[in-house]
Amino acid sequence: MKVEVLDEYRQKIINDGEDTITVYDLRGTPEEKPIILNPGDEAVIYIKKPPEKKSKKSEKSENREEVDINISV
Amino acid sequence: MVDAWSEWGLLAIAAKGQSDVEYSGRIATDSLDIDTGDKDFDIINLLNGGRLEKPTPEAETVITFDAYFPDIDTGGSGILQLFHTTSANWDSTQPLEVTNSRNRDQFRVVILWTDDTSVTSATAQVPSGSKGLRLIITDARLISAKMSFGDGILKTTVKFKVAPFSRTGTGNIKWQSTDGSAALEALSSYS
Repeated sequence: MKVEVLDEYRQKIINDGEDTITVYDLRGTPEEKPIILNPGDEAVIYIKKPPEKKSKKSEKSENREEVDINISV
Repeated sequence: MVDAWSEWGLLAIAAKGQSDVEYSGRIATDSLDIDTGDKDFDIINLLNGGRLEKPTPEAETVITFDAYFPDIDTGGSGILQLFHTTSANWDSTQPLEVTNSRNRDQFRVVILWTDDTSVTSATAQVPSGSKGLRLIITDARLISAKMSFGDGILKTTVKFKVAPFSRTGTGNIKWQSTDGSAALEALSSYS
């Protein structure tokens, strides 16, 4: 099994052996997910969760001023 | 239900904090032995002719198998690094090397029998519609890896031994089965 560190959050696991291995995405967290790697398989796993990026849309909506709207029928 | 489990099975071993590695492709089918610890009792004879049971605490369980390993890798093709040292000291750069030490690791050993031939790991999910029987032992110790070339082939007889309970009383031996009406879920990691 070869492990390549991609960044502080991700690793690339390559099963270069002849036997099946099971690795775990987000190991030890509630979102943990087993990934079965048969011989020759490879996978990128998260070793910890990256911070969530704020979308431009949500940034815009955060910057928007709140306006009270009164609708009378 | 199936009549009996026969012909093939899966066996995965994980050192604490490490990946589960499938070893079934190295193990002789007829060598696998699960020596479940006895829950025996003694008898105290009473004066009135009656008998009093004095329970003996559950004994250790031992799993034994013969395996054929070509090297000392930790990815399924060897066992000696698991025996001689802990995972923090495993060598993964060729040529591989291990020196005996006083370090001892803990292991999870999982054995699965299923009628679903697409399952490739003992820790994997057995989907609904398939039958399965699974043994999970945790915090086991690898106590023996005796090697023999007596039959003209290098064979290692491996023994894992587990105390039935942790120091705090948690059970270390778990059995699971499904008759196909529900899935046997994949195991979470051993940490």
